[in-house]
Amino acid sequence: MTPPLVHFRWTPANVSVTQTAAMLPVLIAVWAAHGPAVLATLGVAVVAALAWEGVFALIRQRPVTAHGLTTALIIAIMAPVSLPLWQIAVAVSLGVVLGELIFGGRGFGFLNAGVAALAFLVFSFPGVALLQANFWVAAATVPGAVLLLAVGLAPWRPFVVAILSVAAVKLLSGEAITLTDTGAALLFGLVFLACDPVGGAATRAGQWLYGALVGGLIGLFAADTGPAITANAVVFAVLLASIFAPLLDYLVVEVNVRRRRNRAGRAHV
Amino acid sequence: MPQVAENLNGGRRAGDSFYTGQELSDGAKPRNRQRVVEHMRAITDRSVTTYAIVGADYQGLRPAPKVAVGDTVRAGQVLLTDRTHPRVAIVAPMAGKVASIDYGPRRTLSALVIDGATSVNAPPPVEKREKMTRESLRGTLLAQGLWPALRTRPFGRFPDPDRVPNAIFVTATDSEPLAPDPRAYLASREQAFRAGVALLALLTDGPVYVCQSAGAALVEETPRIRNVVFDGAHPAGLASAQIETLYPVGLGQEVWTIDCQDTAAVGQLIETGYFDPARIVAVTNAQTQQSELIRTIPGASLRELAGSTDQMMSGSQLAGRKANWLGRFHRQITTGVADAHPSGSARARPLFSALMKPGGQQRNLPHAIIPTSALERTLPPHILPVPLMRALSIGDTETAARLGALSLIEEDMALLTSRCTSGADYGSLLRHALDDLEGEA
Repeated sequence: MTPPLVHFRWTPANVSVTQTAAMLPVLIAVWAAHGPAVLATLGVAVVAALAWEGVFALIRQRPVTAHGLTTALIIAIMAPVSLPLWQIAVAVSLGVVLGELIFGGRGFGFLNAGVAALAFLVFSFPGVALLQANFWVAAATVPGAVLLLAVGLAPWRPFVVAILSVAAVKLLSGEAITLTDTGAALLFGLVFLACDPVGGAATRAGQWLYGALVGGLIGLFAADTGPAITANAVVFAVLLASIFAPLLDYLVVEVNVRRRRNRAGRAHV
Repeated sequence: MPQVAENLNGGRRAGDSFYTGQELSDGAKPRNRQRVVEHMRAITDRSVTTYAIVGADYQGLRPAPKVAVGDTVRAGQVLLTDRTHPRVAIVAPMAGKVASIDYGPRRTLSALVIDGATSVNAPPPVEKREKMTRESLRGTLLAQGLWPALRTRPFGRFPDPDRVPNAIFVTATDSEPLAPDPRAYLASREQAFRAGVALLALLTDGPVYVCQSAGAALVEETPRIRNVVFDGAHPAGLASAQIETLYPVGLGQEVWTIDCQDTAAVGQLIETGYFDPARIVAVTNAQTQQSELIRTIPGASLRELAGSTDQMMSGSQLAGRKANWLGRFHRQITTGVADAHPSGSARARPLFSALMKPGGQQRNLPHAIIPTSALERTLPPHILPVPLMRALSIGDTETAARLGALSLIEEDMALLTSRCTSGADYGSLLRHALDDLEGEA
């Protein structure tokens, strides 16, 4: 007999574990493509992320979470293996601290720490091309993406709308797209970065708008990078859309309050 | 025929239900409920010797006890009145002896326990009136202790005896996990129920909505008395969701809710002159998912009812509370509960506990709210869960009110509490916000 669902509850810890598990196949595919150097990147990212979490846990006297692992995994998958490790360490530190920890930890801010770290990486060190993918990396993203969408840890609305709006922008501009690079960047970027529940909009209508914003910005940023949609474009689009997500939620709340006020005080049957 | 309104959530008709909430667990689906009803036609009588008036059931009550410890009370005797509204009385459902009166913080009632209960001396018959008026009905309900069966929105309290509500909602739906269809409770009391609904219409100038599952219409419609069907999944069966769909409360307005069994009790009181305190509740085992219907009294000792000393819950496994006594508004007793809210296991284990100051981790701070899809459709339509949760968790009462906190009571938050990553108890957060708002008003 299936136990009643009332007994199951997501906690921040098992959300992180599930997201990490969903990324493992991608990590293995990246490892296969780029060799064991990926593990060095991962190691540095894990140490940097967890060290900062530990520091903030001590300052705040709160238990340490292991979410740094998830952030580190995103970096290991996305950052090019040729990058000096100190650059990884700096970017992860800035991303984790400024994207997450100064707000009080994951879920208290409005950014995904991985997105923030990747954006710092690209801003600070010119010429960094994120997520050099091959077919297997793209394929390895699928199971995790399906898992997260199915269990509700990645909201499906922004995912669907973002894909549709990217397609719309690309169709309007009449450009062809190369499927492998684009597929990996879009799928990984949308599911693990854009659809991270803490970085996006939290209301249903807000999620539609947020998805359209992500997709539109990806189309815009990718316009001058040639036929492929690069992961850099996806990261910047997600960063910008995440910054606007609270505003979108705010607008949705205002509309909701107004509608509730208009409905109130009279019978509807 | 029951009136089926359009699905207001999506702007379209959705089969025969108003709107669909969450599919909770196997037990909560309407078709399974049907099966449960078939099996549970048999209702066994369970008498108890100990029962209690539980303060948690009477939000905002400032108790003025009319009995002392050691007094012998008869059935129907006034035990407590409210200091603010002295006409509001809470009466003894059965005769017995007052064993204890315990108070909680700020002179609220914790529990008034009565033991040696017998139903031998039945409540005295009330003078039967051929023609009830609003005033005489109010007087009878107040004197007979049936007034606190009514609860208001906003605030979820017993109403001011002088107030006239904008609408009254009769709740004959139950979408809690493993809850039987309330039609099972009404099977033998249809006449009294219809009379009760007609009487309740005297208390308001607005509509009386009889919210029910799909099936034969429970009452005959008049211009003010409406049959409406709410057959969706939880929280479609909760009164707040029904109010929010049919008659959202406006500024300065008030609507009242009453359970179908209390409605039948009102009808029976006026029709026959006898007040029947009995309630039919389902005893549900959370492990085996088996239920049986029993007839007992509100406040009955759960240990006596179930014949065991295990921890039990008054209410469903979702919205119930660990208790020794059956709550006034609960229609389920849940046995076989392991740990309904495993908040202990939800806490991350600190990695470097040696470096922490002693006591640092015992603060038990709530976790972050991660807006997973599980939080969708946990609240009545038109109320946004995540913004409301954020407002409540930081104590922003004003925003919470704007987002619809005034339309909700504790039971509406149970689903959210069970789904949220933060581990916060949104029911008590909501009550704090409502207390603040009522203080300001």
